[in-house]
Amino acid sequence: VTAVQSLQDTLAAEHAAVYVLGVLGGRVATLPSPTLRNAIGTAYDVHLARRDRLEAMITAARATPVPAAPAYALTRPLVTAAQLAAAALRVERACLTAYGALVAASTGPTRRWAVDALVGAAVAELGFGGSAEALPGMDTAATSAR
Amino acid sequence: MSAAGLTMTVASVGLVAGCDLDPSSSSTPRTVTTPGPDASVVTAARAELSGLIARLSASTGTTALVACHRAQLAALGGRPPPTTRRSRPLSRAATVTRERRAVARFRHWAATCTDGDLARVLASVAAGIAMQPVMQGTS
Repeated sequence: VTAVQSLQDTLAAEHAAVYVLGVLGGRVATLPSPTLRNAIGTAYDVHLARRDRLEAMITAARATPVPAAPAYALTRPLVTAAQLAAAALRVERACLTAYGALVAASTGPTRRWAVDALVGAAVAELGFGGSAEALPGMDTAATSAR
Repeated sequence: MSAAGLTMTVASVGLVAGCDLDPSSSSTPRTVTTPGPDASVVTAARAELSGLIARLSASTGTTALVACHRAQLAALGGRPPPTTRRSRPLSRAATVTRERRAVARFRHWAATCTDGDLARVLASVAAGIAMQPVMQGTS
């Protein structure tokens, strides 16, 4: 996998993350769960920034960033705080795997940024009920939120 | 990535000594004399984890953290250090300081090593340490 292809794969994961977290943000607004609301809001901002950064890196590499899909399938139901947190956790895990692949495929500043993103995504999992792992992001098959 | 894949990753950087499986070709063990460009990184990474395991093993309430570092060390093809009673236990604050330092080092090694697959393992180790309860103030 080339660095540009891995950047595209990661961008696709971030497109899905932004979409799903946007939906989750709307749902959580109706729940009395301020901690989860803040966590989802923070995650949305982080993934939005990473998506924009990835698009810029791909453009700088003289490639055309993959577009977002019109919509992404969501797990159902998404009603309770636990269900929303589980969906957010799936988003973080998918991105974590994508960043692991990007670390392997890239070099220089791109890899350094990917390493930071991987660590950030791993820690973000904890805010959505994820458990600490010894080696997060080592999955070879990404679980898409699409 | 499977355990075999991880071993392949570490082997690819030239630290795993090759064994000549053909008895007719030579009679003496062969050793690696030209380590790969990341050999020093793998050696330092193993030493970092071994040092943490040794110090944490002398402390209380660190069983999960030690297990985490053992798994990480195994992923890098290292062997856990022998248990010693001479290691001084670490305070909680000292543990956090050392773990933070390890995260920074693994991030740096991941960003600067030559082999991409090794970089992924090193980045994963950094993330794995950052996730631990002691780093989140929840232990």
